[in-house]
Amino acid sequence: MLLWVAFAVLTGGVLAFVLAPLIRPARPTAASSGEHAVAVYRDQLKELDAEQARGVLGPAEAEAARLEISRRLLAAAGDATQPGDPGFRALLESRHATYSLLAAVAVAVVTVGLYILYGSIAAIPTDAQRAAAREQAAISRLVAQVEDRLRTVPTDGKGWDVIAPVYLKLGRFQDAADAYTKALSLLGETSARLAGLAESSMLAAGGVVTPEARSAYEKLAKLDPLRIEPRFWLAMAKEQAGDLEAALAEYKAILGASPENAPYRTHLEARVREVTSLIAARASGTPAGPTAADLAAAAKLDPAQRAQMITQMVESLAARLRTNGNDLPGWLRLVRAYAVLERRQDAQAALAEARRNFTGNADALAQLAALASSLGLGS
Amino acid sequence: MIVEFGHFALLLALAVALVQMVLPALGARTGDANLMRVGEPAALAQLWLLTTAFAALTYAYVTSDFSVENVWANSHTDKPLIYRISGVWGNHEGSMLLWVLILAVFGAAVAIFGANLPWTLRANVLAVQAAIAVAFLVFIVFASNPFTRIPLQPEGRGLNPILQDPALAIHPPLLYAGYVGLSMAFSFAVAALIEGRIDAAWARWVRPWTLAAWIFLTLGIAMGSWWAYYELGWGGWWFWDPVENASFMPWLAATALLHSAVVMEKREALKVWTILLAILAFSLSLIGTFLVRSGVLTSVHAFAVDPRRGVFILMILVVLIGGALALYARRAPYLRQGGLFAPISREGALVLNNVLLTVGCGTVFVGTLYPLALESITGDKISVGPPYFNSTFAPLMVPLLLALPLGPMLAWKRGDVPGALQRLLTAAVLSLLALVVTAALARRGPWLAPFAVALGVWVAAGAVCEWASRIKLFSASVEEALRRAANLPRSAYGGMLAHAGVGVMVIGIAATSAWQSEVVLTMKPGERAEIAGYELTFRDVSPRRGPNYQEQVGLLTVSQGGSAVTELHPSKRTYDAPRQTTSEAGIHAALSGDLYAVLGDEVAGSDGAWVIRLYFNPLVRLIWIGAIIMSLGGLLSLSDRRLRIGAPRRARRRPEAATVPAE
Repeated sequence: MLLWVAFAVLTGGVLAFVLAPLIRPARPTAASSGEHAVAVYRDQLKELDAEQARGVLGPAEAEAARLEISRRLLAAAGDATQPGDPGFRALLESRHATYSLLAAVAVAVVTVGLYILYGSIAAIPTDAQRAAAREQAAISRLVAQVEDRLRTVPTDGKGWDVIAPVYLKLGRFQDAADAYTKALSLLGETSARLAGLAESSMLAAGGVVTPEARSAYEKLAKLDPLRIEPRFWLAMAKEQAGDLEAALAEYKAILGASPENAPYRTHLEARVREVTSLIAARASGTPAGPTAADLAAAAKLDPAQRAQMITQMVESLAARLRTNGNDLPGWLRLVRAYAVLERRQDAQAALAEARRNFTGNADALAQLAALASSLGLGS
Repeated sequence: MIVEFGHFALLLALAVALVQMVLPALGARTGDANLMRVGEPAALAQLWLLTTAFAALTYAYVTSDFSVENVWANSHTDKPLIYRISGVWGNHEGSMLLWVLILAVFGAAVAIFGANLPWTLRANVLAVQAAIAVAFLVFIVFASNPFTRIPLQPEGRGLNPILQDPALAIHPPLLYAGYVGLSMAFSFAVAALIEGRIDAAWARWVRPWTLAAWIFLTLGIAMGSWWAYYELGWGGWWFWDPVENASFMPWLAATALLHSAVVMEKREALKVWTILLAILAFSLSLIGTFLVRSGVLTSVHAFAVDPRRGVFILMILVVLIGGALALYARRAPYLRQGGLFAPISREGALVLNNVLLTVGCGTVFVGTLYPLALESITGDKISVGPPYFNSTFAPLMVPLLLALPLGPMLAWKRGDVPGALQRLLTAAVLSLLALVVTAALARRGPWLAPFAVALGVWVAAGAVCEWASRIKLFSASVEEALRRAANLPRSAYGGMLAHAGVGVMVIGIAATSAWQSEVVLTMKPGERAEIAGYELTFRDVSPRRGPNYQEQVGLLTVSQGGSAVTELHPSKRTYDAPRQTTSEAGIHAALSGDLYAVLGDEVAGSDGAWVIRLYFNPLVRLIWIGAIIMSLGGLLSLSDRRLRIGAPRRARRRPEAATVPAE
């Protein structure tokens, strides 16, 4: 907005300045060019006299030049004509206001029009963008400097130590892992370097606890037994390796050792929940339930395989409901599933089982009855 | 904020230029004084607006605003401040902005200093200047806008390292001031053609502006040549490169124009020819701009290249040059012819100068554009190199240089050659002496070289002889001579100085072309080499860190006859952004010439052996010293604002048959 005000002021000022001669009263036409020529020749004659006085020109030469100029002067004097037709000029002068208005409008339209086409007020970067760009530039400059130095002195452990966390922050995980490895081998093991190496190695591998990361965490755990994160990631390594029970035990151990208000508790709790259900699922020989991945996989199977998969899922649901009969939505789903699979007997058995589970719960019994009638299972 | 304000100012300048193109011309046509007067404030407003735009772009460069595409593409925060500023015109868009800014400076000069011009002439001149401005502003706004934005980038891509040099900071602005300065002569010529009449004040106006442009061009070309000499590392100073020719052609035309404008101012002769030359000189500037900016040439100089834009500039060329020449063809026959003069006269000598310079310009033109024309028609790529120019252009310059000292010795209107030659006897003797001495000293080299040196001595000594004879140095008393020397107008001194500069330059060119010596060696630390009587010892190469580059600096100690002379530090630089390598020559300047060393590459697999090129360029500095002397002469003449009148020699009898029409 402020910018548009500035544009308006600039345009207005320039127009007032440029068109001022049109706003002033009409002037008589200036001296004709013939008169100008006469003036020039008169000046030349004066200069000639001055040159002769200074002795640069001899009298004979000066006389010859004077004669020539006088001849031109006479010719020019006869040439003093007025340009333009006076009648037409008067007409034009009456139109000065129109001209200046036209010019002003044209200038404003051309300028503003072009600015709307080519200008880029919207593209002016905000202060926040500038600050971010500055920071990024400062970091990349630092990186470039250190890289330059490391190119010439690759044994400079301090350089690797400095650049490794920067790489990590910039998302250049593999470079970070390499830099940490170099720093570790040149300067020895510290908890910061080990943690950095493990983290960047893991991130470079897309979240998998690599052997490199595991060995780093093992060293770190020895170096600094109070640290939580090596224990957590080592547990995660076990989980990823399929040793769910050991992982669960370790998660629980960490959870038990950590204070009530520790921020990472939610993380651990989530792991515990997940691993528990995984173990349960494995115990029942089926996955815990259809996940999005399962459904996507199902879509790719042929009909026979798909039927088998569905059966498997229904069985796992039934098994879960046998141990935990309090899950009304689960029972409703199971009954409907049996009905869809045309296993009427199973459906009625499940219905009876559910009714037994929910004796005294009028609401639940009403829902089960409604489902039974809608599926035509009788009452 | 500031950048957008600059962009808006640029667009407003285009709108104001449109007003300046239409209203004053309309006023001149209808005799409406108010409309004519619009030209002056419009020209001043344009200067102000374009200065604002240029300042805004400079601000973006200095503050490294990488949301501006032009800044991002050509700058870098690590670049030293001076190269961030010179980077503004070190690229296509910025250099075009500089071009129109200089155009506006000249336009404003007409508005400020033109009070004594006839009103209609001034109005028409301003209208023509505005037309040129409109053409180039449209080009800038639509095809090469320096204010285009991109999403903010953290860092710029940097400027071509070859261009990161102090000389580059000055070379283009000087050259552009020269190119664009010739637009004044063009505008005056077209205005005179529009009016159908050449005013008495015409030449008085055109000559100083042409002179100013010529000084800028001379310095700009010399600077470019000097820069190429020490930066490109080939030890040469002129390559007949098309881009060099692009600046040399306007220079030749401007030199011719300068001389014919003198005739016109002093003698009111050669009017129609001067008008044509004025059009041609600026047309060649435009062609030069086209050649460099359109990217039709691929050469060491054409850094800012974008073929898309070529068509646009070509259209500007066709409209401006074609329009002016068409107007000339229509109107020139009606212009009043100038005064008469005999073939042997000062005027006649200047006509010879004009003929030789324009023909020389023509040969350069053909040599520069023929390969382009051939390529566009047949697709064959040929290159026209120094052999062509040496065998066409150089022979044309020989008669020009031979006649050069003679011209100023002849009287206006009618001259006599024997009398003039008599006064040049000293110069002739000196030149013969130079011939004998150089031929005796130089036991090798082309046989023509001593003659070329003698020619240079003839021109330089001729200028001194002219001065001596003008002040009657040996024919009158000492007091009389001193008085005459003091009274001689500065313009006369300027002319003589410029001619002496030509002579000095010719000596330099002849010597360095004929007797340059060159050695290419592989040297290990401690090894020695010899060139032109110097003994060089290669010491070592060590790394060094500059503000935005890493360099390998070689160290060579130089001795002569057993005593140490100097150390040379040729280096190879690798810039950070963009990653490019340049070589910096190590140069030792002595009276007899330059010792010039270039560090090549390290020889792979050999411990510490480097390729080193050594040159000895005898008297090479005289080339640039000559150019500076020429420019000083121009400045001296420019400072003399007195009217110029050439007093004719009166005929003893009436030699009607001996006079010829001026054109």
